[in-house]
Amino acid sequence: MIFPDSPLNKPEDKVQQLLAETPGLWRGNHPHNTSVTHVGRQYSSRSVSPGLVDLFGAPERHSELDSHSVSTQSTGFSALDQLLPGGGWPTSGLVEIVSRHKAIGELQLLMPLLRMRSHQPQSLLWITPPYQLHGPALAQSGINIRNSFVIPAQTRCNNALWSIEKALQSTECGMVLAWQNWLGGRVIRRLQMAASEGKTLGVLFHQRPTPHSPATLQLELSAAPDSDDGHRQIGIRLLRAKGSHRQGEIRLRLPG
Amino acid sequence: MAANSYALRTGSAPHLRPVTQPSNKPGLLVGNSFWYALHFPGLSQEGYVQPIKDLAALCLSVSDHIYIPGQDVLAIDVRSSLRLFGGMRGLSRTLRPALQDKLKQLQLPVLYVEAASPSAAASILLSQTHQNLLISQREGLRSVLGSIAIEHLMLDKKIKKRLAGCGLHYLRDLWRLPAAALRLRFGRELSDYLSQLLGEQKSSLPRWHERLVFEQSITPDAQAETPADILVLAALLLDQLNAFLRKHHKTADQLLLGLTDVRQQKLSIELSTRHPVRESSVWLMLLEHKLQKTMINSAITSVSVLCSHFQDYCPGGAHPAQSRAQLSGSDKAAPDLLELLSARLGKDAIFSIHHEEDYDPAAAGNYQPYEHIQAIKPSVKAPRSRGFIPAGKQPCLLLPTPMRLTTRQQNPVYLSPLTLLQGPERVETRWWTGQDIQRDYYVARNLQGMRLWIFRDLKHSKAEPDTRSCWFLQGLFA
Repeated sequence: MIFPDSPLNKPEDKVQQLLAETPGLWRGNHPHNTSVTHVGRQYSSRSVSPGLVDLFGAPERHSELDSHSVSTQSTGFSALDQLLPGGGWPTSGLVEIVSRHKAIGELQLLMPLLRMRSHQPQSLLWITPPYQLHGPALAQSGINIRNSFVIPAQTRCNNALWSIEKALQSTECGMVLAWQNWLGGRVIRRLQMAASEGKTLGVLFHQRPTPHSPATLQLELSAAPDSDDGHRQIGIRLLRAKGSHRQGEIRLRLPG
Repeated sequence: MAANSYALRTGSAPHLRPVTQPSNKPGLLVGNSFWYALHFPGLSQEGYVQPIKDLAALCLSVSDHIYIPGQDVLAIDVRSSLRLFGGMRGLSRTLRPALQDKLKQLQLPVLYVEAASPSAAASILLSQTHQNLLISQREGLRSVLGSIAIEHLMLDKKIKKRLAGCGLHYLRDLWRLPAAALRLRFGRELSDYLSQLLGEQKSSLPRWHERLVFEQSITPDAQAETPADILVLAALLLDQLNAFLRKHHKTADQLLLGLTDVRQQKLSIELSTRHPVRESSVWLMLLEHKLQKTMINSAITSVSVLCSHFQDYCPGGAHPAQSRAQLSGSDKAAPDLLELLSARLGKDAIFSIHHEEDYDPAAAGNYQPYEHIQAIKPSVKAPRSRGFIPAGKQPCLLLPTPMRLTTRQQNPVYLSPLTLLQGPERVETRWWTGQDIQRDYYVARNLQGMRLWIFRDLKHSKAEPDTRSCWFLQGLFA
């Protein structure tokens, strides 16, 4: 029997009740969760370990979502930190960035992360970027280009995929940025496993989203009109995040 | 350190006539070195360069300190080997069969003269004057050498002539004269040589090192038809290389693997590592990736490994690569990531980003093969700016060559009409090369939201004002 005024008629309330009854039902379940819509938010409210402070002072955060500890680090954009589960980029795993068009600010989004990673002993590997990387501009952005290596766009697809996998497996490589038009779910899974093995962060730039992607994070970027004061903006939609059901969309203002 | 009794008794060797009485006088090893010289009269003719090196290689079995002062004479510092070989007699007896065999093999007279003394120059001189002598004490040198004619000395002909002109024909004539006066009259060369003969001064002979080459091949009974078969054969050779490197305390960073097929066609595969290694597993892993790329049309009958460039072994943890591996917690035997990638993709497929101080964007940033990086140590610090900052903001992605844009009503178009956001920024450079650049750079945006770096070629617009577009796409603000 359905009672229209009953609070349990709302889907959120039903889920909340289920969560209360069966604590291990959801992968993202946590004793502090009070609502499904806040499942992801509890990541960002996690206390920051004082010992885990990176070169630029960006704190690393460890979620206690489940037995698999997911470590994150700030993106450098507070709005994006709030959107992403864990309050930032995962420190290892695979991040898929889907954008139909290039040059809408996809690298600008990663600049704080790249800046930090390039100053660590592990190297940065750029695999098949669509165009030549411009050293002076990267150096101007604060990236240590001496620690960066490039596999150019002329490389065959199978060799590029092999390189991505090997780089992700390697502990010598701190971060891999790779451009591929589209990759199937099986390939993504394999790369995700390689990233887990090497505890390396891989960022894949796509033009089309992979359905049911096993990647740690899947974001879709879109161009947004400039702000009133002329600043560049970018639209970010969280498609999927491993271990979280959070979805959302923000418009981010990129630095000049 | 005391000399053993056998070494002290060497004066009684039948072919080495004792001059002083070494058996009664301990202190054979008082000096820093004891020199054993071998003179091969058969090699005195010109053109025999390699045989003396072959003979020197045989002498490595008794000492590492070998010197080749001439093409027919060897000098060996045997001080630290006397105890092991039981003195000069035992050492001489150890070397004799090998030297005789080698001389026979070289079709040379099986004859050589030995001499030993605390002075290298004296031992060489004694052997060259065919005096089989063992002089154990430095004090005995003066009297023994006194009877040697000056014409045999390793001196300039002019000095010998001048000495003869002064009536000095034997070394004993020189011993009688004051050293300072000789030095004043005949120069430093003579006085230094005399000091060397008497063991008062060390001879400045360059030490001879054997040129190491590892070259081994294997011909299996059954032909190798698959890469796995080749890897099995290569593993055998690489294990031998590993043993060779350990024996000589060396490491290698490149080797050449040769494959010979049934048609006797040879295929060479070059393997190289960024840092010198010893482990055969590293070479095998690189070879496996190379073989995946290599087209082998017919069965392989022979596999060979040639390694001729070596580096001294660096103990564990001392090498930058090893310390980096330890830092990251990776396996020590694992090859460098870039080596692994270059083994499959090729050396020219991995680049580092180069940064030049140039106003021409295309010249300012380009790629260089990753091996050209000067610093082996991973650079944690960013390159220090020397004051050159490109004017204006430049994009991270650059087209290798600027792409000409179409125009619509004289406005540039890239997928859709472009809106100019910033600019112009004038760049004029390379006027001294004759291929000068005159451009106005703009930041533009199209309807898809792409932010582009375009320029208007002023030089081109002046030359062809109306024919073609003078707008070019240079880069993308990704």
